[in-house]
Amino acid sequence: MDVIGGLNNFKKIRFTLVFFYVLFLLSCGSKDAIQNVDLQYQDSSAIGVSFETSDVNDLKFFLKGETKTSILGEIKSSGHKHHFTPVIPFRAAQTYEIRQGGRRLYSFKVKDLKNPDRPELITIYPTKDTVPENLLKMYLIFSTPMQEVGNASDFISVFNETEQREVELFLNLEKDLWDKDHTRLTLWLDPGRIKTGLIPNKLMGLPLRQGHSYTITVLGNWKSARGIPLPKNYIKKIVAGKRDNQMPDILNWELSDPAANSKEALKISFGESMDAILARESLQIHYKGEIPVEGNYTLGEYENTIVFTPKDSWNEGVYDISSDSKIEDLAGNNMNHLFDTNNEEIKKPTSSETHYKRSFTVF
Amino acid sequence: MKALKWGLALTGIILIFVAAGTEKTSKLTSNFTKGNPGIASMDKLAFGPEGILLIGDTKNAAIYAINTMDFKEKSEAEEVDLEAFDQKIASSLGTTADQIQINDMAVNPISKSIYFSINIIDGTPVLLRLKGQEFEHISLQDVSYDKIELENAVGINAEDKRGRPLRVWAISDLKYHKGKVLVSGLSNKEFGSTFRSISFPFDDKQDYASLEIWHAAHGQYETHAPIKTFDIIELDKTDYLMASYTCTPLVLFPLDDLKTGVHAKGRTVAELGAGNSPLDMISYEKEGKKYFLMSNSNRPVMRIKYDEIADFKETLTEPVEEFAATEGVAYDNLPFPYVLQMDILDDKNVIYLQRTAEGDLVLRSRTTKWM
Repeated sequence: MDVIGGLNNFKKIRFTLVFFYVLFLLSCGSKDAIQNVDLQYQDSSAIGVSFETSDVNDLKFFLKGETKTSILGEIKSSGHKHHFTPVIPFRAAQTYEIRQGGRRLYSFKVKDLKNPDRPELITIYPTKDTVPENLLKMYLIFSTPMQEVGNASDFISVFNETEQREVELFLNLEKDLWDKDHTRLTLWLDPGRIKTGLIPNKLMGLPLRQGHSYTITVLGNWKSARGIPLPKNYIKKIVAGKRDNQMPDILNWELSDPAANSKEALKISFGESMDAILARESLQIHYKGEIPVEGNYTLGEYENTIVFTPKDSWNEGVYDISSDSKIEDLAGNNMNHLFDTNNEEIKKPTSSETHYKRSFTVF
Repeated sequence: MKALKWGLALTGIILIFVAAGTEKTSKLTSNFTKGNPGIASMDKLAFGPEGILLIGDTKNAAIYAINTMDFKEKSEAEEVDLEAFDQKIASSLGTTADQIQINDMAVNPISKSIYFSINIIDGTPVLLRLKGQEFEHISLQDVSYDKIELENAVGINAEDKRGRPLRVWAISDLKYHKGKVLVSGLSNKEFGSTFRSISFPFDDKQDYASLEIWHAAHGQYETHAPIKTFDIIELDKTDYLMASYTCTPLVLFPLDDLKTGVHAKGRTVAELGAGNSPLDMISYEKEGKKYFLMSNSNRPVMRIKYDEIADFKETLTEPVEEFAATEGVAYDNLPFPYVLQMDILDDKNVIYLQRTAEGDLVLRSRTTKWM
């Protein structure tokens, strides 16, 4: 009896211990529980998270899947309420975990960006397919600011279709040449290979070979500054044509004939494709030699033309069109000198004028 | 009475300490203001005295001096050996390695702390300090700082004579030397490659000289090539700027000649091979002899002996016709390819950031004995 009674007592004690142990665990669980988690967004970025818990000692935030390196940031507390601000905003669509002493207490997912500005490659200049063999540069124009990490060469490949091999066409720079907005990238074909007499030119020749076809691929994994990739690979095919050894000459440009008292556009035909960016920035029209004429410049097909639409109607009289001498054709030849100044065979007189002008009359 | 004596003595001691503390920060930081300096990009880092961190901001075309208050002296640094370093930085920022870029690294010579400037994918600059195996974020929201805008810095949309946008080169390297902040880069002046010497503390005076070099790999004189990295070398009691350029000439300019309005011609002492770009340059002493280390984009780390430079009295003026051939001062190739950043960690060690053959980015310290 005593033995049986002893066993029963033991069972009772064990049951009581288990009960208290479970109660203890439950109480611990409730003590550690993360509640009322609320992510704060600003301009679609998750800049912080507020939550409630009784103990924030050793509480850390991690990228999901990462267990060693916690996220840097600051926790501000007021009683049981806390707010964590990471050094940089949480990433869109990424899952994060709140851990304490190595134990995961909570995980949360950041909202995906609403209507994210998916980047697009709007234009590749030059837009024409046949380019001079001494082409100097190309521009990629994107719809939104692009990522500020990595190198453009990671996202651009060039294949020589004629020789059936991948080639390095563009100058690889430590820091890429972006404009302030990070939407326009300038890609240089190595000037050292284009200028006659320089060692790279002697050893490797021009980057493009006349008669050869090239496929330039801009990869779809190139991301915007918000981390959104391009929607697809973009392909541009070019053929290297004959060498351009002529300097642009304003006197050779053809001008249309807008009528007085109208807002007809003035069409300027260069007679060749020009550097798209410089063409837009280099021209200015004046009335009676000094009064600037306001209006918009729009590049025409293949950058062969630029169309000026005046804000106000044309007056009768004499106008000047002035071009900054820095305007360039596709080979980098400007109004003062050829890009390849070293080539004795094609050498032309150079100048240091800042602007060139010609007049036209509106009737 | 006894208590009063003790009280006075204690007050005296406190006053001495306060005065000493004030003295320490007043000399160089008395012009500093408190607040958010508004740094737009942290392209280059360098330490001045008293834990003052110099930050080269190309986007704002300015140099910032930040009082890090990190001046607790330490004679020896801890050994560093961290693998997957870019992933570690990315994880500490709650993101992935493809979303960040390590722009520069600098060691505080007093505390031996290692600082990193990081770019986030959207261009946000972040300053981190290594602490053991982890990082600390150095917030610049409310710091003691001063700044100086670079005179005639390249305009944000400026282009070179070939129409190439130049702003990216506005600050190519930055160092502190004998009370001056030395900055290499490009300016809007006729001659593109400039070197600036700015008094520190900043007093709005900056000397900037344009530089011309004989570029043996290109076979011509160049003024538009910007210095990629530089150091200072003393030869016959004269300080020289030792500048390294893309493709890869090593050129000496007497530091005293580099003054406003001067168009200085350098003495090319080495041509270290075309098809390469120098990335970083440091100097150290070992067994009483001085050495320079230069890391490169397409070459291993080069070690150049001070004595070799001192003994080289010529100027290279002939083109190097053979591709990637070298001329001039001799150097040793060290077995460290793809070293992206280097700095002096302490008297006996250097620290470097290297991309391994497996593609891993590692941060390691190494004794100069084996460098």
